[in-house]
Amino acid sequence: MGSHGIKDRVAIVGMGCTTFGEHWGKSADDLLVEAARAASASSGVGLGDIDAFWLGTMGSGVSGLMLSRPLRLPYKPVTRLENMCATGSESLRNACYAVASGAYDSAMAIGVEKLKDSGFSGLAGSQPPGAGDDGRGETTAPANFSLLAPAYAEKYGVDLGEMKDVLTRIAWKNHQNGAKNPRAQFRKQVPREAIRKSPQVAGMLGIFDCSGVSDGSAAAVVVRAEDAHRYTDKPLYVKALSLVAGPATGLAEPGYDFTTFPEVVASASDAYQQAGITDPRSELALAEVHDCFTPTELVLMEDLGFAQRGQGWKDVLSGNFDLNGDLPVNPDGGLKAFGHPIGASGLRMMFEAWLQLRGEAPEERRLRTVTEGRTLGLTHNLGGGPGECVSFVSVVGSEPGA
Amino acid sequence: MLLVVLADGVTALVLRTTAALATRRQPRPVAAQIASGSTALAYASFLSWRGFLDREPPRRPDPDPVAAPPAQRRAGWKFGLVAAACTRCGTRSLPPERVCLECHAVDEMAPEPLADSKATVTTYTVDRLAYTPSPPVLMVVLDFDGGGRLRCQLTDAAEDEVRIGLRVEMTFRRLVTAAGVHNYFWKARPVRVADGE
Repeated sequence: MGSHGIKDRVAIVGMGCTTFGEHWGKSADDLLVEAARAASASSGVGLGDIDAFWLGTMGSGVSGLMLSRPLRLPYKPVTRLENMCATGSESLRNACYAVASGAYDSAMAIGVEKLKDSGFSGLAGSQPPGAGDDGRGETTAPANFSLLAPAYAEKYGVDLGEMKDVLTRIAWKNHQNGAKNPRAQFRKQVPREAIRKSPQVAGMLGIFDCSGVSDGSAAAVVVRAEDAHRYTDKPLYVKALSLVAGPATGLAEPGYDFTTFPEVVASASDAYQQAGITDPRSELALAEVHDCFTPTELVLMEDLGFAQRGQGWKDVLSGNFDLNGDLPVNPDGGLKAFGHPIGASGLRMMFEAWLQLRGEAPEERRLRTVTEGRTLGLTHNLGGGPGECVSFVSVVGSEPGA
Repeated sequence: MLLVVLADGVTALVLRTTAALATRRQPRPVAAQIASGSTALAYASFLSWRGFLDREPPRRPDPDPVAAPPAQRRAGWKFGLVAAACTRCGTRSLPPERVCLECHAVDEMAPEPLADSKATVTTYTVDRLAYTPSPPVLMVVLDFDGGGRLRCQLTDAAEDEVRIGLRVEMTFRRLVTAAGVHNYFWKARPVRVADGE
């Protein structure tokens, strides 16, 4: 028994991504049609010639019919799946395995979410009937993630004022990047003072520490690696896919200290082993990580091995993860500025890797790490919260064998 | 004694005392219970709890009402805060689970009452977005004396009272009323009376 991965056996040959934002004039169906058609056109494979589909959505619809109906797909296998905020990545993972197994020649992973119509602040999941005795649904996501900040500050002796500077800089950086992205929900640079003083939501977090509630869709077409050059000169090879669900003990036993996601450490370790990565910070050209709230991105820098334990905040302040830093993190603006339509987010991250590693990102956010020859990108997608979550890590690359 | 309760319907109870009464007195006198509460209740909060003042809710979905079958299945935990302790390794499970989180023993749990246990706040936050009759929600993560962790609300406390290391005790309170169904569960509150600890 063991996790062996499918390094270089499957490649992405086409991708599509809608703009993310307040799409009052578009339904989930509209967004699915747009993303599916864009990915199909990008790959040169007609929608009718794609053999199987994996559709990720947290709550915008149910069953395979949610995709087959708007696209009028003729009698194709369509799986609808959900794995909290890692839903989009989970659809890609399953599509890749289906192609790697030999069951299908091609598959599409597509994710969508239509969040704005409800009018709610933040996410609103639906729960099965319960006893009202386990805290589920009692508090909001920003509150749950806000637990990271004071715990981190206390453990590593960071003054709370300085901690706020660190969180502010993460939001500022992602808004800087989002301002260069025509698909992003928020396309303005935001002054640090405005971020710092934004209205409080939970704990140390203000509105600008939270990702955007958004509508959007993204899709990828995958084929066997040996067939990839039939469709594109620049395929993106899948190097590693790892998903773990934690035992959810962090909120049940005192060993957990709210300064790490053990699930992320486990999925990163598995992914690096599959891809043969030993020093992610120097080997990766970019990382798209799950910056649902600013302290999450800080902790992820350490959990993914981009920074030493207790040192991540210094790397943030010195700009090491900026667009022109050692390792650019969220060059597309991340969940913070690009927006977070749940089912689409994991594939949106992959869309940035697709653009950057193939040299197709817009001039103003092109990465020095790529022009200097790095060929690998990482996406990280997380669902749940500190103490109990699922975590996904992928590594993709523009060169086979690398 | 006949006790008639008139609220959400009528309940009539006939109570008869026995000789055991003297040995089963409430260990905590009423005066001590009052002293352990907080008097800092804003008049507007009092009015809104009594239904005389509507407070604008957050832009969040209405809370779901409690369902009777799961509440009945977990009556010991929900109403008595009876957790479980693994008979193999002693690790507590809050709420009770069948598989031990530490040694993975299955169905080897013994009841572990925690309602009278004290705990310490290990981390906390203030949730200004969550739905509650008593905003904002003070959310704490508690580590109980003797083991076990619970994330729950802190009550009878002001925002600036919450801190890591705060000593708390448990109290059975209303969380929310949804679709006409009150949901009671346990909240933490600061230990204000030493209580011979």
